[in-house]
Amino acid sequence: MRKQHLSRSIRRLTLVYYKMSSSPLEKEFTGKTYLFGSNDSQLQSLKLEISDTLVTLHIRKASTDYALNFTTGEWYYSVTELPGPNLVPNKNIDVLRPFKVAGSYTWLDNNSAEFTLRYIESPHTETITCVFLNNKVGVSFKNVFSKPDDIKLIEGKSAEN
Amino acid sequence: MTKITKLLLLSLLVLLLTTCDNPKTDNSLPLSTPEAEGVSSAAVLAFVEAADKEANEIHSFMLLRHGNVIAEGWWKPYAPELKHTID
Repeated sequence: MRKQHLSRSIRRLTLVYYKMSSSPLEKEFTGKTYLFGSNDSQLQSLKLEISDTLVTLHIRKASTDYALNFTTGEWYYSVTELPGPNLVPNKNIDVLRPFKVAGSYTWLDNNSAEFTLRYIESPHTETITCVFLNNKVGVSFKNVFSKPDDIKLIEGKSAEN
Repeated sequence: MTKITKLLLLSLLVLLLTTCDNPKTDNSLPLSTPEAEGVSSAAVLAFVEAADKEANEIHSFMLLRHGNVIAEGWWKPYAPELKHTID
């Protein structure tokens, strides 16, 4: 009996993902391309797309486009060419390309969303926070290497203005 | 071809065939159960539950006793078929 309980418990192990959430304002933020000035993260643009429970964060970083996928209430598995935080020398990281990731997101409030991207062939996770306000957005990236002073809000403006 | 050369070639062939017959492709560790190795399942369960509730973040564990795997688990989204770098 205890052996069965152990097996069941092991099968159900899961790291906490964000619970289902939504924002009444999310449609206002979707489909808009936000542009950023020069910044340390080399973030050039960001666009949010929502399709049912799948959210895609389109980002342009260091002149390369990436589409990062997330869902809410579970993990969404996909791959990306965007390298995650790591200590692996550049020449060795290529064996992991494309990087397998699992994404989950939540709305922290009506205007703020948090996206967690786990690089599931590494110990690392990138957390992206977006605060939308009118036609502006503030974005921050956080991972295990980030010191509190390193986490800066990168401000962008809608390209439609 | 001398007898010694023929014998060496034959030995090499036998060695190659023997190696091919027993390819070392399965790197799995032998499996057992906690009780069979003298470990209480309840104690393992207590460890798993404590790790799940209290540890900051564990991606997987493998518990061996007497060279046998008696319990192993992966916290989703991590999974046994995935590679996992350690830095």
